[in-house]
This record gives sequence, structure tokens and C-alpha cells, in this order.
Amino acid sequence: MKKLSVKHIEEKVMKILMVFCSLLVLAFVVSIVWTIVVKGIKSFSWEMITQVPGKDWNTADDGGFLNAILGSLLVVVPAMLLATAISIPIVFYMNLYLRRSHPLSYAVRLAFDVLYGIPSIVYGAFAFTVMVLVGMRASLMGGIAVTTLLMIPMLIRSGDEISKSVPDEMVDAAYSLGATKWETLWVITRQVLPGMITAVLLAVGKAIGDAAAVMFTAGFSDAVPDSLSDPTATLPLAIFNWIIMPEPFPDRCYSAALVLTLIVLILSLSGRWLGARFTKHNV
Amino acid sequence: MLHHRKIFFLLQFYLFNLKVHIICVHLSAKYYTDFMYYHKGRPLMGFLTGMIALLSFLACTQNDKDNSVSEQEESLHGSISVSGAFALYPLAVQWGNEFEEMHPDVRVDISAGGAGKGMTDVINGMVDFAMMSRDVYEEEKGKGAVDFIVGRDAVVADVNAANPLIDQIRAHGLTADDARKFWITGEYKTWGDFLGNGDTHPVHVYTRSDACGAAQTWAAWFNATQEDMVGTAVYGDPGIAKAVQDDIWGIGFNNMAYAYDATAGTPLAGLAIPPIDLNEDGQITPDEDFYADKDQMIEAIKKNLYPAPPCRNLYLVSKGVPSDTAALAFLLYVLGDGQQLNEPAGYVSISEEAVNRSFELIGVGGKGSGLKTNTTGRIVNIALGILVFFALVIGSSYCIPSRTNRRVFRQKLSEVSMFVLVVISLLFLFAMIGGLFAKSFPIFENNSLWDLLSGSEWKPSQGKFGFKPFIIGSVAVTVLALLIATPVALLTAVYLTEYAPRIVCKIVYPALDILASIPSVIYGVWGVLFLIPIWGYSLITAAIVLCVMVLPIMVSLFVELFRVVPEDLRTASLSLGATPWQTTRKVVLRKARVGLFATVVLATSKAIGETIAVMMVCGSIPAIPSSLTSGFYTLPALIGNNYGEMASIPLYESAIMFAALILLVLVILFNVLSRVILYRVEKVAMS
Repeated sequence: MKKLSVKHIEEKVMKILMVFCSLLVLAFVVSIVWTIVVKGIKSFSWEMITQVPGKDWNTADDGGFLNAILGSLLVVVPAMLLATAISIPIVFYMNLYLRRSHPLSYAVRLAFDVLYGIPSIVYGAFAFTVMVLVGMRASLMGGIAVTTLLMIPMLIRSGDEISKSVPDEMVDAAYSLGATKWETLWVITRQVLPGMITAVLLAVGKAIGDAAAVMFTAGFSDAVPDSLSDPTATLPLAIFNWIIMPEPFPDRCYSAALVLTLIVLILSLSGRWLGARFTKHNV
Repeated sequence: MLHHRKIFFLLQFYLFNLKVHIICVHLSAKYYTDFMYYHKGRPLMGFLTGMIALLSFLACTQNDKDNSVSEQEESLHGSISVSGAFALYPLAVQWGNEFEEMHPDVRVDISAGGAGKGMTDVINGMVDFAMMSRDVYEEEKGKGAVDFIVGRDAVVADVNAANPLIDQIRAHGLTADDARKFWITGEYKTWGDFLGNGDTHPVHVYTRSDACGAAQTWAAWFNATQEDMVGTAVYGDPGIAKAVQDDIWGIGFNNMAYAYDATAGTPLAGLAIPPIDLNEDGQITPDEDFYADKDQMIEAIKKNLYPAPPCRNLYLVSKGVPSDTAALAFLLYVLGDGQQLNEPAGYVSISEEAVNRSFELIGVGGKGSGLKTNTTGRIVNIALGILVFFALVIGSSYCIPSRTNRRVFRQKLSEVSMFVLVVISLLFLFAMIGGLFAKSFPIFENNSLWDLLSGSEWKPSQGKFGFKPFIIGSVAVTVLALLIATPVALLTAVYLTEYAPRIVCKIVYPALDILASIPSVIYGVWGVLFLIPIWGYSLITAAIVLCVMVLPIMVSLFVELFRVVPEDLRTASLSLGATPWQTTRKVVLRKARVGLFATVVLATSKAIGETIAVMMVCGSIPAIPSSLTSGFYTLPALIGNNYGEMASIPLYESAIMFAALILLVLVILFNVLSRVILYRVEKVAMS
């Protein structure tokens, strides 16, 4: 007998709605990726990623946007190193040196959760104010500083999550053998490393795509920076600037968008893959 | 200790020559090792020795560099930075290229961000020259701005070349009164109103969102200011050209440099330039029609045929007379040989008297008044110094002979330095809040908090700072985005956890990961390409973009929440005869409802703070949005568009900082709220 009661009709209707919603989400993803890939490949040429802008960059096809790619890398890689150097000690201090339930540990966790949620434009505005106060110009150094500040809360948050997975027995065993806290740190590093690598790569992916933070602090330039006090072009800012400019810039904008998306995807995917691969040997 | 080696050790500090220094180090090496052996067990001595050796090494290398530089005084070197008006940008780039060819050791960086940004940059000491396409205000001169006329051009109106009424528009012409009715009062709602022929097609008016000379000059033509202008505000001169190119009913204004094609000299493809009706007789005679190409325009400007606003001088402005040799040389070049590049590029070159005036200013000036020295180099050195300091401190731990003491030293050192780092990072949060608060303090002197938050007028040059349009804009777009996103995310999450076969999960989860990692700019690009042609720069476009941005995080959090609900509850419900959906609705959702609420709050805080994607699609209109398809403005977009353009208007900077403060407070509130709720949910789930 066919069941036609209300609850079964409701069930069927809801199921259709749910499938529709899931398809909608998939449709969005496909639409975004498709637009970027199609438009980007159409205007892509090898010159774009291997040459810096030439003299006639503004009116004709002369050179490419290698300066933006290198600029982004030059901003993000030192920032990643600095941010890792600052956040890993903080994470270890919060979880190893102090108990997880220690009030200071709790306060720090809350503070960084708050910092994590602050939009990057506020970071940029704050950093710009400080730079003007101190006399710095929009430069590579400014860009690195802001990106570091941006990455630290992300790393601390992920680091915190990961350190929850360290079994207490491991730490106790190290202590029982007479290790100091500093030495236990090196013991649990092996356990924590894959997760941290994933976290670092994901944070780098987020930071490299962030235009709001570098908008006022790194400036923009048509050349690769020679020193830390030169302004530098960055990929997301280049995309943001070029989409509203006349030909030939929009084409470059799409290629740059394609390049940026590829970089970010490679970073995210490799982060997860590396993390999964090395976690095999964990406790 | 061997005394002759000690002499070499001491000598290396006095001779300040790198080669001699290295020789002395080599010869006194044994002294070093004896010294360290004598002081073993004292990490402090090890640290100090290392520090002194390093500093003296650095001092010698610095002196060498200085010596070699002063020997090459003949060739000009250094870097010049210029920023400001789009109007002067193409010409300035040519000047920069020529100058770099003449002086290969000089680097010229030119960036365009609007006249307002240029002025702010130069007053703050961030650049050497500002490119200005409007006159310098008295307050700016009071802060030290000195202007040098370097060219002359004009702002022209433009319409879309494919407009069906184009011939009538060209024959009718534009008077100052017409322009006023387009851009200030909005009386011309249809093309029929303007042409008087009963046409009912709507007029889409465009203006500039960044503080710029073009808009100011254009508005001055009909006795108004940029702020009074209405219309969809687009960023940058090229932006407005593109907007009119894409909109068949659009009308806008551009600097000549962007309205005309740079190489061909004719109006840009897709644009047509309505002539200005000089004698206001309602029709254009051949002597009023000189817009066919740039050369004709330049001749007309020279003969003063084009009215004086929107025709204006272009300036390079510096803070005080440039005292830096490279900057001064660049200025002299621009005033002299550089003028030959003006006309081919589409600008009028400057008159004799303008040149003389500039030379007078340079002669009189003497020293730059308070030009902030570029301390970036110094800060870089300080930062490197700190890194070296840490390296030395850690290295000094190797001086301790006893293994136990070494371990204790390292433990204590690590504990102290980590604690310091933690305290500094806590202070950073307070510094950010405190700094924003301090910077926005000035605005409270004239306006009360309530006035600021509830005022609807945003006219900074008249001192009216009403933030209500921005707050309402932010809230409206966020609420709309979440209204769409929450049900979609909820249903998707339910489907993924309860119903979906494995293969669907295998596709959807990576898709969500990809969506989560895509940067904000890319969403903006997608919005511009995909959604703007459908709905234009409006509330609904921005809401859809925001919705797609928060979907991945909402779905993944919902999935996590549903996983936490114990399977027994589901099984029990099913065994009582409920359908899966009834189970979900009455059992799972109820159990997870606190977490659901917290997720929505978290997504709200993310959406409110979203800057770049919204900036690209919102339309930048500082008024409360009247419908779903009208342009609007949000707090982050306000900060992003206007930051750095504030020196000329008093209290503007403080207003923008206040906007940042409001944003910060809102985001913190939402964030803390959601974390507190989620924390409680976790606690309950674990117990």
C-alpha cells in the first residue's frame, strides 16, 4: 500500500529541497571555478608570469605581472617565518608550560580568538596609523609586518587545536625521565608537526589572498622590490586594481586571478595532504 | 695571555676598515679563545663578546659602504615616489620612464589613487610628490603643501557610444545647468527630460567614490562639490570610463587622458563625448564641436574655448620645496624638458609665467619644511638587530660547561622569553583597541555619539558625519546574506550527514574546502563578472556574494554539530516510527540548536567584516539603500575606499577611525558571544 500520510509527503518534499540546496552549493563552486578558469585561460600567456611590466605596460602588452607574484611571495614567506617563530612559543607556553586551564592561558586564548575574528581591514588601518606615526613609508617591510600580525592568530588557534591531540601520557613520560619543559617540547614536536605544517600552509593560503591588509601598507609598484623599504605589488591588490581599469588590464586581472586561485588551491591541498601523510606515525 | 695578540684585538675597534678588521681578528684569534676559556661558565660574558664582535664587524662594513658611496657623487641615485590623481598618471609614468633612462640609478615609483590620497600621502611624508588635478586648499598649504603647475587638461562628460539617442545628445550639447540637473538635483531621470523629446529610457548617472580632483573640478563647473554629487560611485577614473562603456544609458565624466584612447587620440572605444554648449543656446555649432580627437581638444583648451572649471591646471605638490637631490632634479626635469612630452600625451604644456612662478618657489624655498625622513631603513635595521640579539642570547648558552646548568639556563630562558611574547601579544590587542579609540577621539568634540550613529548625512567637507547609512548598509547586507545562507547551509548539512551516499560526500566536502580557501578578491571578481550584469551594483548582488562566502564555514560547522548528537537518539526516534526528516527536525536540530545559533552568530561576524568583495560590488553610495537593487555602502567599504585620502578635510581621519572602531566593537561582540556559546556546548558534549 502506498503511504500518503502527511509525514511521508513532508519527507519527500524536504528531501527534494535538501538535494536542491546541496546542488546549489555545488553550482556556486562550479560557477566560481569555471568563471575564473575560463576567463583566466583565455587571456593567459607565459609572458604574464615570467616578465615584469615593461615601459609600455599601461597602454600595450609589454611584459607581465611577475612583479606581483614575486611581491606576494616576498611578503608572505618572511611573514610566515616570523609568524611561526612567534606563535609556536606562545602555543607551547599556553599548553605545556601552563596548564590548559590556567587563567593566563584562558585569557590568551580569548584574546587571540578575538584577534582572529577582527577583519583584515582593521589590521591594515591600524598598521597604517602606526607606520605614519613612526615615519615608515608603504613598503615591503610594512606588508610583511601586517601579514605577520594577520597570521599569528590563525596559527595560534590551529596550534591550540592540535596541541589538544597530544596525549598526556607522552608528556608525563618525558617528565618522568627528567626532561625539562623545554626538552619535552622537542619530544612532542614530532607529534604536533604534521598538524602545524597543515596549519601553516592554510594560513599562508589565507594571507597570500588578503588584499585589505596590504592595501595601505605595502603600496603598489611596477617593479620588483630591491630592498625592504621599496613598495611592492601584490597579487590580490593587483587583481583588485585592474578589474576596474580599461583594456588591457581586465585580461591581466583574470590571468592574475587564475594564478592566485591556483597558488591558494595548491597550498591548501598540499597542506592537507602533508598533514594526512605524516599523521600516520603519530600516537 | 699573549700581549701582542691583545693589541691586535684592541686595534680592530679603532681602524674602521673592513680589511684591517679581518686581519686583526685573525691575528688575535688565540686571544679570543683564551678569553672565552677564562670566562667559561659565564654566559653573559659570552653574549657580550659575541655582541661586541658582531657590532664592530657591522660598523666596519657600514663605514666601507659610506666611503664608496661618497666617491660617486656625480651619478644621481635614490628613489622618488609619486602618488595621486589619475588625471596626471599617464603623463607622470612617461616622465618617470624618461627620467629613469637619463639617470639609471634612480628609481621612480608612481601610483594612482586619486588626488585626495596623493595629498594625504605627501602631507604624511609617505611620498615625495603628489599628483593633483585640483587646486590646493588653504588648510593643505598650511600643512606645508607647495604646488608646482606641470600641465593643464580638462574633465569631459561621456556617454555610451551605442546610446540610440547619441546623435540628438551630440546636437543638443550639455550646459552647466544640465550637468547640475544630472549630478546634483537628479531632475533628469530619463533621457527625455534632458533632450525634451519624451523619451522614457532611464539615465544612469556615475560619479567617483574616491576623493579625487576630477569630481571636484567637474562639480565646480556647476558650483557644487564632489560630495553633493549623486549617482553610482565607482572607484578611479578608469573605473568610471568602464562603467559607462558597459552601460548603454550611462553618463559619467572623465579626465581627458582616460576619455580618449592613448594611442589613437580619438574617444575611447564605446564612449562618446557630448559637447559643452558654450553659448547655452540648446544646440551645438561647428565652432563648439572640437571633441573629435585629442589634438583638437588641446587647441581648444589653449585658446580658452573650454570653460575653466572643468578645465584646470595639473600640479605636482610636495611638502615644502624638495630638498632631496633626486626629487629636485625630477621636478626641474618635469618643468623643463619633460614638457615636450605633454602634448603628444594629450595635455597642454604650461605657460611661461607658470614656469617662472615655480622657479621662484624653488629658489625661495630652501629647505623642505618638516619632510619626514624615511625611517623605513632604520626600522629594518632595528628589526634585524633584534633578531641578531636573540640569536646571540641563545648562542651564549653554549658557554656554560656544566650540562645541568646549561639545561636549566635554557629552560629558564625559554620560559622567560615565551612569557614576554605572550604578554606582548595580549598588549597588542589592547593597543589596537586603544589606538583606534585615541585616533577617533577628535570627532567627539563636536558631535555626540548619538548624533554620529544616527545621522544620515555624510558630507565630510561640511562637517556632517552621519554613520547611519553605513551601519544600516552593513546590517542589511549581512542579514540578507544570512537569510539566504542559513537554510541552504542547514539543509545541505542535514543531507550530507543523514541521507547522502558516500560518493556525494566525497564530492561535496572537497568542493566546500575549495570554496573556503578561495580569497575574497576572487569572490569579488566572480561577483563583477557574473552578478553585476544581472542586478548591477546593488544590495542583492553583495548579499549573494556574501552568502556564498559564508556557506562553507556554516556547512562544515553544522556538520560537526550534527555529528556530535548521539546516534542512540536518532535510532530511538526512528524506532518509534518517525521519518528521517521528523527525526532530524524534532531531535537532532533541537539538540544542536544552541550550536546552530552560535554558528549563525559567527557567520554574522565574518560577514560584517568582509571588505574587498563587498567593495567591488556595492556601488559606494553613502545613503540608506532604498531597495534591493540600489547601491549602498558598508563600514569596511568606507574604510577601504577612503583611508589615506583624508588630510585635506579636518576630522575625516578621525571619522574613518571611528568607523573602524564601530566595526571592531561589533565584530568583537559577535565573536565573543558565539565563542562563549560554543564553548558551553562543547563542555556539555564532553561531560
